[in-house]
Amino acid sequence: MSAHAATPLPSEVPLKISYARYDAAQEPKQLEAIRQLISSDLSEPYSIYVYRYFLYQWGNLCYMAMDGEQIIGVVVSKLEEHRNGVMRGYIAMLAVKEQYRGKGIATKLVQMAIDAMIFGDADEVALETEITNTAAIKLYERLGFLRSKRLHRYYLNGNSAFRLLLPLKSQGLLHEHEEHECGEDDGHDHGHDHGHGHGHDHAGEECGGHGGHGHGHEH
Amino acid sequence: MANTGVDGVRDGPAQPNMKNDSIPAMHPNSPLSTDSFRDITAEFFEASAKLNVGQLVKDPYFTLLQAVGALEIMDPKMDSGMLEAEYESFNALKPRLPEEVIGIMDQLLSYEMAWHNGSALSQTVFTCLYIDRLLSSGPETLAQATFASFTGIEGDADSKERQLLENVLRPYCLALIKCCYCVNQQIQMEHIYEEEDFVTQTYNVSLLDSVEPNEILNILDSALQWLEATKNSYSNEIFEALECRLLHRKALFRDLSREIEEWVSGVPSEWDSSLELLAKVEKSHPLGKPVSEAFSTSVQRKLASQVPPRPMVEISFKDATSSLKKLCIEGKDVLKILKYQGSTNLVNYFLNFMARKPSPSPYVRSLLQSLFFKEMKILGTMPIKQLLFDDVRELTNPVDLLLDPRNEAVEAPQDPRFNIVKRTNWFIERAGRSYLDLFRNICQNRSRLRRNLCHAILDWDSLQVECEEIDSELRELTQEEPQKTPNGPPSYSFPLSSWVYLYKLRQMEWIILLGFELEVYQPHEYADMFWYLQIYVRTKIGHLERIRQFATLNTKVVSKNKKKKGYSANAQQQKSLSLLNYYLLEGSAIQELAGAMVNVYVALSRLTLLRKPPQPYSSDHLRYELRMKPFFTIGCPEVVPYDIFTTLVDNPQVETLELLELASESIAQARKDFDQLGKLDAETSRTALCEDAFKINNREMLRSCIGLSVAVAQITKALKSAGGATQEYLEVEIERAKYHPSFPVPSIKNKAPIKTAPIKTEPIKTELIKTEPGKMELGKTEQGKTEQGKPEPSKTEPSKTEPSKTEPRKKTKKKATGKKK
Repeated sequence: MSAHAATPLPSEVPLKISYARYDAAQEPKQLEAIRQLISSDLSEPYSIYVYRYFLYQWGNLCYMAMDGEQIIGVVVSKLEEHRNGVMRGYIAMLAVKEQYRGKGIATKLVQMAIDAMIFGDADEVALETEITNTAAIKLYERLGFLRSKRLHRYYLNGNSAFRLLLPLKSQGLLHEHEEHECGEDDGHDHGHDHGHGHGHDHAGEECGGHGGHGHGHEH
Repeated sequence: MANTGVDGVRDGPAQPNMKNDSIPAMHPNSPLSTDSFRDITAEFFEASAKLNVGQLVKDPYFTLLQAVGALEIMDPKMDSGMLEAEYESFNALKPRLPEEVIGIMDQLLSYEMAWHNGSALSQTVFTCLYIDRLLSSGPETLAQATFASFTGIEGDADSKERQLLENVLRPYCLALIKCCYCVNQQIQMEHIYEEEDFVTQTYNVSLLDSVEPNEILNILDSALQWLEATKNSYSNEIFEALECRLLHRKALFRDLSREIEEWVSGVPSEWDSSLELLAKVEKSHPLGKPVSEAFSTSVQRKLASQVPPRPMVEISFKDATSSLKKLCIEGKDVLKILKYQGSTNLVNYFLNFMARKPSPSPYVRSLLQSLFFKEMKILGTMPIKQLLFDDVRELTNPVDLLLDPRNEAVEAPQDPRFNIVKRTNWFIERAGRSYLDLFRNICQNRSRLRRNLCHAILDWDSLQVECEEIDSELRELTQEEPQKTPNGPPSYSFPLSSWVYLYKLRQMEWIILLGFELEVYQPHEYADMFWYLQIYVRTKIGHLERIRQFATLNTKVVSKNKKKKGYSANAQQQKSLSLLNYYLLEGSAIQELAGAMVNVYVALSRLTLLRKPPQPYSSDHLRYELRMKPFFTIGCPEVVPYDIFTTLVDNPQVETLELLELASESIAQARKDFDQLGKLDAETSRTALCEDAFKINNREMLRSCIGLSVAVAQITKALKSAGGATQEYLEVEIERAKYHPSFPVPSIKNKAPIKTAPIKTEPIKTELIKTEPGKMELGKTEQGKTEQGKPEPSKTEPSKTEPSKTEPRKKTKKKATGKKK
């Protein structure tokens, strides 16, 4: 689990962390490091295609925290049209190496991703996080996210999630009569789909945090 | 891309055609011959060599779900094919000690309950290699389901231990498998969220589908006979342990295999004997000896090759038995609804049953749905119409003519009654659907319930508009006389739409209550959301009063016109008025408590004892829009514009001390109301089917009232003291455990002793405490709490707190609404 929030650094040496946007040209060097960083927080690893899915399409929304040459933190996101033309940013993965937690690195990474999404004209930013992951929840709530709903047994480990949303633009809802757009955007997927062998569909809508620990974080 | 068989994905509009575009999972029995495959390795490598670093070739429909569903072959964490096939070498005929058989049975029971609680068969029951052996040949008859393996490792067929396997463990396993079959069938019949609440996936393994329930009972009986005959071979303890496990399984199977029709016809259940036998099973559990080699995740290699290997879901035997006990108790409880005691009792049963903590199991929630409604019949006997009309009648007491069954006999199209029926039939069709959905929604897990309600209120909102139109037509047909209001236009009863509106308001109220219960709302939002709760409940009260006005009136008209009908109409009226009065009392209680909560949480925020996180992104206005999104499209009541809203909630022209005083008054009133509610008999509160739950709920409400009044007293005291109610002296934590889940209470702790020299000398308001001499624990608690306050040296807080009364607040626009009416 990732919620061991504030593990202090063993040394008192002030950190010199630099931040960089993901660079596709550096793939051979960076992708594996990012993957390792994230999968250490997951009970079940993501396939390489998950990383490719995000990094090739939204590499500009992926930021890394580096200690020298070493990648010690990463945020992976996407931004695309959701329902009713809403541009929704989505923070899929966030991880900071355990010994670097509690230093505001994750917050910084998330802020960089959000800023990039705002630049990309996002209407809102969404993510899911385990309800027991208080450090992550706090991190996002301090930035302005709101819990929009609770998702029962969302993760493979049987834990529930909160969906957190950060509204960036008014969606002009006042007294507009829109069919079924009441902030609860996935209530229609009544889950009677028998016979799948996957279990991944919990991540149905956004697929961010399967494996139980999608957002691994500090505060 | 390897193995991207993403079948069964939950498809939302965000990913169109996903199902069609995914590579279909290969059916295990598909007749594909190897001829249809071509080795493309060389071509693949040649093509991929042409790609640059950072270049990706993908088809436009490559979705995230497919990416997540993809596996990497030969990665041991992803490729379940790399598991060693332990099941192949397992010798299911190896002699076992009776203690080991007990151990296996108990472990199986644990896995069975883990499955009931939402884990997959591949991580639970199917990991048992005995079960695997019985099912792997795809047996169609019991005789075909044996422990013998293909490789034929045979032991000494006559040994006692071997016979024990054949004659006790095998029947037990077969009955357990069939129990799983029954549960799976039941759950698939109703609305339960796949994967979320329960996993029905069986990986194409038949759970003895074609075996008749009687065969299972027979094989269990034979097992019991065999055991009896060999009784002398074991100690008495062992004998009894084995016997009670078989008996327990039998009792459980009988109930799980019941058809709904049998329950409806009044077949007695065996849940009680299941419970008794389970107690014996528990008691003898220590005799068992675990056999860990009999369980292995390696079965996933053949079961679920498209997902990564997943660990066995271990739950302790203690947790398993308590889950099972809960299931038996709930299974018995839901049968109560079959004794119909009116529609409101039924709704209340659903509400109270589903509010239980921990939540009722998916199986029982499914059973409840089937018992309630199956094959177009309510409780197996009634048409939907009857339940619906009962409900409308009990709430609104409409004129007799409206729902008179004799109307249906009228065939003349010009007869008003003919036209009434035309409209009420429309109502049955349209509102019936929404009404059934309401019951079904209540049976979902709480998170789903809230989400589904957010959709449902839109449906009820349009239903309301539609019904208003029908009501207008109906009042012509029933020649309803308008009721004159002192200074307004004449008004009509609108019985159908009134009924709809009440349910809509109740559901809006539930959405908010669930927001608190599920911790979707954060403490800094509490004041806002309690404010809305209060508004919705207040609107409901206004609406109930209107209904009552007409419900009272209708009887007068009827009894004047039809002398003979006078009595029955009167009884009907009594029933309605009693229900309306009950709702009004309940509404008043909640409104008062919610109002007090608003004031207290506003006070805490003014005193900066409860603070919002910094929130550099977005704005409060946008967050307000997001929070109120489910309600924005509702025609009535409308969401309040943001700037007005903040003033209404913050109530700037009322001083903090006064806010607290108002809160005290509200709490006192709420307590009176809840006390009165608690004294009502089950008939009046319509809780004939769930009186205990109702009382518990009421007690929790009272506890929230008491807890809140303690907090009010503490803040008030601190405010009046020299130091004031500042962060230096006080610390606020939100307490949930002791209180009603929807009414969390701020617990105020003293960080430092409050300076005794008060600014004002008047004593703290304690009238509230004194008004109820019967319940003096309040006074005690209060005292205890304030005195307990840890006199810690004040932690060096950046003390930038301002005196409470000089709060700079936003412009004042409207009159305070946090006040009492």
